[in-house]
Amino acid sequence: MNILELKGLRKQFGGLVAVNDVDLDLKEGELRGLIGPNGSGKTTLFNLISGFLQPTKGKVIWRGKNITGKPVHSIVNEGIVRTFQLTTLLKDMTALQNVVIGCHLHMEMGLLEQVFGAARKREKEKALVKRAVDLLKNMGIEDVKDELTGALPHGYQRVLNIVITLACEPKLLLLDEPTTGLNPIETQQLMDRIKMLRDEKGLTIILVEHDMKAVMGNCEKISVMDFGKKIAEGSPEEVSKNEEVIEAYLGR
Amino acid sequence: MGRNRLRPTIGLTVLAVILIALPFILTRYYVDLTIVFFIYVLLAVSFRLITTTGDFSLAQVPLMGMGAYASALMSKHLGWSFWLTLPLAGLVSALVGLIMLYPLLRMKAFAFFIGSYAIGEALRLSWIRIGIFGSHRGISGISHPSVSIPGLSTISFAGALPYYFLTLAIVVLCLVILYLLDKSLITDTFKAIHSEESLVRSVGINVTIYRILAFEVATFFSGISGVLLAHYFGHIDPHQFNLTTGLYLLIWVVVGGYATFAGPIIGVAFFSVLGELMRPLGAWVPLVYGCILIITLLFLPEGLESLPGRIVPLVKKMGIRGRT
Amino acid sequence: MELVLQTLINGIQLSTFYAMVAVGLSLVFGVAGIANLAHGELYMLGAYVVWLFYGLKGVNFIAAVLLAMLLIGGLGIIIERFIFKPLRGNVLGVAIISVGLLFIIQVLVGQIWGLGYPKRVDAPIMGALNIHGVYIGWQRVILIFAAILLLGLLWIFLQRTKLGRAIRASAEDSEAASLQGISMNRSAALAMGIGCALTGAAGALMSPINAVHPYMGHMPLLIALIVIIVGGVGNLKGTVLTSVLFGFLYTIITTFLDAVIANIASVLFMVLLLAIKPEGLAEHGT
Repeated sequence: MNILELKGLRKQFGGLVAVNDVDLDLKEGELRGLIGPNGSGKTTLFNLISGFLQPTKGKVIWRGKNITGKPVHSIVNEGIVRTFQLTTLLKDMTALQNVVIGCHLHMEMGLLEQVFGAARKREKEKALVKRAVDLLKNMGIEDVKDELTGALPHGYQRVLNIVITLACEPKLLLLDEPTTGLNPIETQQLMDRIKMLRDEKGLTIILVEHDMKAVMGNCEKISVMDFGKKIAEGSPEEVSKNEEVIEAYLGR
Repeated sequence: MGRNRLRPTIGLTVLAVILIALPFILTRYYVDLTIVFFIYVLLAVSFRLITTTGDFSLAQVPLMGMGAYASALMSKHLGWSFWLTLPLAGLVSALVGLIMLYPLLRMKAFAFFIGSYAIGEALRLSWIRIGIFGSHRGISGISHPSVSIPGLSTISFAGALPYYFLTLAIVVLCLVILYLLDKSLITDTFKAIHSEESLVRSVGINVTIYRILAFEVATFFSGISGVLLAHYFGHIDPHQFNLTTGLYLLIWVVVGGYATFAGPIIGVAFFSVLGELMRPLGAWVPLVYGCILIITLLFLPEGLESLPGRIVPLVKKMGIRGRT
Repeated sequence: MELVLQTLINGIQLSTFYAMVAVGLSLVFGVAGIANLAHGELYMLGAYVVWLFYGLKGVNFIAAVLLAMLLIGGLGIIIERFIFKPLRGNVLGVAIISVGLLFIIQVLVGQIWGLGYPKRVDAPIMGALNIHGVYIGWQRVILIFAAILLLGLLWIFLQRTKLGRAIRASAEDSEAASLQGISMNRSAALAMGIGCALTGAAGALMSPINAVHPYMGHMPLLIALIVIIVGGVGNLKGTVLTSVLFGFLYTIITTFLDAVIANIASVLFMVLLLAIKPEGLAEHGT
């Protein structure tokens, strides 16, 4: 069963076609790689799936439901969460505080309660904090929980971004270049953790990456984009032998 | 009571005693001024609430006026008592604010700034143009509140003294609510929206609802401050709520600081005192305000409230007596 | 028929005047991300320069206008260097600090030269042009031609000269511009100099037509903001076209209804625009 289907997805900005009639089917539990040269439309595709942009044409079908054009918060509620290419963190807050904001979604506290219900609030906040700490532990970075995120090394920041997405209890994770700025050892560590997430939590993951080794070595299936179009799709071997793919990368 | 709670509790008690004693010590003129000070504190704190989401609204003063006009009209033409018109007028302001949000929500930062001016001005111009609001002359003869206690007498709040306590009580109540809101997770979310909206969206928070919440709560209290103004002076007109007043509000909050709850209060206090001291300067006052604004933004961008934070380390550095 | 013609002429005059003020603001906003809310005060200062030198001291009118351009342009450069530059990049911040400027300039002018009756400046050429029984004061004709001349010169500068093109590049991308040999500092200074000079010229040319008083800059600012939202920030052609459109609309509403309604319509129009096109005042460079 396809958990996600993109049908003829298209995004045009005036004369520029950023995503050009892309079809993509994703099965539950896949770890799909999405690669392509700079400017090929990968991030735009993420924006379209997650609701940050509205498609000009086409559909996004999630678990049989048409979620095209829904606002971001609804889509997150459906279980699709994304990270950003550039780290977006609340720089003046600690790692823990950042994750707590992520847990907000599952807090279940009415507005009035949040302002006036002192005791109940403290209880719920404690629970939130505990959950946040657990999430940080799972990804192995709970030792920096009280550091200001602005002061953390780049690698930690990228992992923290992923922890925040996990706070939302996602079913589909869209990871946008999570290994940027990591050395090869850290990269593989992160990839191992990502695979673990997929295995343990039954997540489906689409991974945009520039680092070929990370993608080829870890994803079972890879989709390739160029100039907004999907030009190839298949196993790492198939894709690496595909002529169009080679041209797209070499011809730049 | 833990040691942490002792200092602020003593401080608040002292403050309370001072505030209660004040109207008996001051002359009538200064009691008037203090009443207006309380009203503008409420306005400024509610203005600041909107800044936590990153927006500076020039519509708050017109919306304060909307509360004033609503209460004035309800009490004059419908004969309703102040106790009813106070919250209702706040709701009227909030409703008008909601209508304004329809276009305003699509704007942010600078566009919101200009858009809020434009729509606030449209509201103000409509008071001039639509007969019932009394055009340029406004509305006069707005009654003072009174309370009839069955079996006893009627307490009228017509005098400066009773109105002082009335205003103090209402403003304190409103500030307590605003303070609790400020300490809650909701305001953390407001601030997060201001600093990293994408992140906040990406965790499934409905940013629009939060922006509406901030604006509406602020507007309700802006309306309340307008009602307090109207029923004290008994007279309101469109010129009291024009752009100049709106810009003054902006200056109070920016100079006072808007990072914390206390900033706007410091700002209003500073300018209240300054305004009185500069009374002989008359028409030069806006120029001084302009200079203060520019100096603040260039040299003390975090506002007056950041001064203690800056001075304390300096004092420590100089080795002046004190605990390390 | 006469009414129509008169309205037409009023419309043209208003349009050219709006265009000069709006283009000045658009240039500054587009190139350096400066939202100068004291822009209207600079317009007003231009009028005062002419009143002082031509009206009071009898200096030649054209010389007075040129002097106004020079002085206001220079003032603009100083303001940019010392007040706006520290906040560069923060559009809302610059807007707020310019509010301080607005108060300072307005009070200074009012206190130095009085708040009483508005000053009258005699038109340098008396009499009027007669078209089909409708009279246009020569001053208005001068205004229209001067505006077209100045805007034309600006257009040539921006399109045809190296410096002009470099400034336009700054509006697109400050990094690319610095590769072309112009720093953001120079672009901002130049844009402010030219933009403010243009606004000063508008005030100078309008001084014999409208009364000169310290609050005369408010309406032009408001209109300029509306115009640049629609016309596109930094887009000169769009700004001019919108000025024309708006000049006519405003004139028609004022003629057939009244000024208050025209004002309400203007602000509501602005709200509508910002709601439909919030990127009209979007942050520079995004």
